[in-house]
Amino acid sequence: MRQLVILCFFIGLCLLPKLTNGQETDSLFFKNDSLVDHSINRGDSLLGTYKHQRLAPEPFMKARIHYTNDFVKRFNDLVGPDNDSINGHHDHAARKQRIWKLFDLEDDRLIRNSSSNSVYKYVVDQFLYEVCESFKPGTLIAPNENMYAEVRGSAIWKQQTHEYKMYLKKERAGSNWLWEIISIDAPFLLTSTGTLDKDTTTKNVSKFIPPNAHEMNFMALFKHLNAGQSINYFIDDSYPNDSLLNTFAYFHSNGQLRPQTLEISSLWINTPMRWLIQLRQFNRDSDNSGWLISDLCRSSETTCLPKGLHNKIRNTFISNNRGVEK
Amino acid sequence: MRTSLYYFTMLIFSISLSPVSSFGQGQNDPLPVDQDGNVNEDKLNPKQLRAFQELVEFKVNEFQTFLTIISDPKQSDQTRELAIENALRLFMPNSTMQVGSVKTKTLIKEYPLSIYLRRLKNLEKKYFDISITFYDLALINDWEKTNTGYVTTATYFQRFQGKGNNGKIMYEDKTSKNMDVDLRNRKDPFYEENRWTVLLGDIRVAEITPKKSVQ
Repeated sequence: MRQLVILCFFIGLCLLPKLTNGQETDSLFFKNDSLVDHSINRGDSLLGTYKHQRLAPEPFMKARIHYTNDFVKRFNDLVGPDNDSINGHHDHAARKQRIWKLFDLEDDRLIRNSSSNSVYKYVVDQFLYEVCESFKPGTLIAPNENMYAEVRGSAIWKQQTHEYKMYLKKERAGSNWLWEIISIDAPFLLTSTGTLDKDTTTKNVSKFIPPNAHEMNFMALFKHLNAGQSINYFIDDSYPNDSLLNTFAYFHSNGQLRPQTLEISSLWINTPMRWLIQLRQFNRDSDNSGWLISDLCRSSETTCLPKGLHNKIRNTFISNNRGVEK
Repeated sequence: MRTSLYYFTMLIFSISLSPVSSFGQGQNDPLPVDQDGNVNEDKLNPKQLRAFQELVEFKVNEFQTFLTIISDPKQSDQTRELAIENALRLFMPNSTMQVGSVKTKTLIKEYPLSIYLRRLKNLEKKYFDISITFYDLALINDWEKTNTGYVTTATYFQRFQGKGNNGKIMYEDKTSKNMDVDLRNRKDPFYEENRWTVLLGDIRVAEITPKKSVQ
C-alpha cells in the first residue's frame, strides 16, 4: 500500500504542470534558452560568435526619478535618492532635504542668490515646512490618485495646422486604472461649436488609455487618434458636457480634423495637504532628473493650473465636496 | 488503516496544493480570491507580479541582444533575419519604435517595429561598422491593473556608434528608451490555451544626447 501511495505521489508530481493551467506561466519563461543564454547576470556573455558587451550604468541613470510611481515613493519617504528603502527613525531635516531634491533645481526661480521671483521660493519653503513639519511621515500621496495631465497636440483643420491642449484625469474603475479625457482647449474650434450631431459611439471596455500612458508620452492616445478612432471612447462621462470637446470629437470622427502630433506637457497631483504640485519630465544627465516638481500652488488658489483644467477641477471638487474652498 | 489514510491524505494534499505552492504562493501571498472564495482569474498576487517583472527584464535583455545582432554587419544574413523574426515575437502586433537622431536639432521619427528592424539591418549601407551597446541597467515600473490585465513601463539606455570605413566615428549618441509592457491572460499559440503572458509594446525615445557631432 505504501509503495502504491508513493508511486501515486510521483505521478501527482508529474501532473503538476498540467494542473497549474497557465495561471502565471509564460511560453518563454520556462524555455531553457530564455533563461540561460540571455541571463541577466551582469558582465559579458558570449552567444556563439557574438559578444554582448554591457556598459556600467552612469550614476544619474540610477538616481533619476524614472516613473511617477518612483516620485510618489520618494515623496512619501518610502525610498531615498538611490531607491533604497528608508528604515528607522525619520529625521525631519533629512526628509526636508530629500523633498527639496524632488524639485527641479535648475529652475531659475529656485537657484540660490537669484532675486527673480522670490514668491515661488517663499511658496516652496511653505510647502516644505507643511509637508515635513506639520505632517507625520507616512503616505502623504497615493499613487495614481488625483492625477491630471496636460497634453499638447497639433491638428490640421481647414488646411491649416492648429495647436490644442487636452486635459486628462487618471481614473479608477473598480480595481482598474485608466486615463480619461476631461477637457480640451482648442481655440480654433470656438466658432464651430454649433448644433452638431452627437457621436453615438458606445464605450468599449477593451478601448482605453492605459494608466502608464503618461510614461509613454501618450503614444497610445495618439495612435488611436491617428487611426481615426472616436475619442468618445476615452472621454470621462462623469464630467459635464464640454461643447469644445464634442466639437473636436465630431470633426475628428468625420475626418475633417486630423491630429498630427501629441506630447505630454505636465502632470498635476492634488495632494491631501491641499497643495497642487506640477510635475514635468526633465531628462538630463544629472541626479536631479526625471519626474520633478516644476511648480506648485495651494489647492484653494489653483494659480499654477492652466485655465482649461482650472475650471474643470474646481467644479469637480466643489461638486464632490472634496473642496478646494476652505 | 490509519497509516493508509495518512498517505492518501498526503497524496491528495500534494496534488491539490503543490501547484499553488510551487509558484511561491505561500501564506503571505494568498491567491487572489473574490468574496465567495473563487479564484479571480483576472488578477495576480504580488509574488506573481514580481516574477513577471523579472520576466520583463529577461525579455528586455533578449530584445537588446537581438538588436545588437541585427545591427552587426559581421553576422550572417541568416542569423540577422532570425534575430528579426525572434525579436518581433517578443512584441504585441502593431508595436512601434521611436528613433531619435541629433544633428543640428533633435529629430524623432516613429516606425512600425518590423520596419525599424529592417532599417536597422540596412544601416550597414550608411555606416561601415555599427555598434549598439546597452547599459547594464533595465528599470521596470510597478504593474498597474487595467481592464485587460496589467501594464507597466520598462526603461533602458543604449549607446549607438556608427563608424566610417576609416574607423572614425561618424555618429554617436546615448539614448534612453521607455517601453510599454503588456501582461494579460491570452491564448498561447504554443500551448493552445490561455496563459498569463508578457509582450513588449511601443518604444518611446525618452532622452537623446549627442556624443559627437556628425561629419
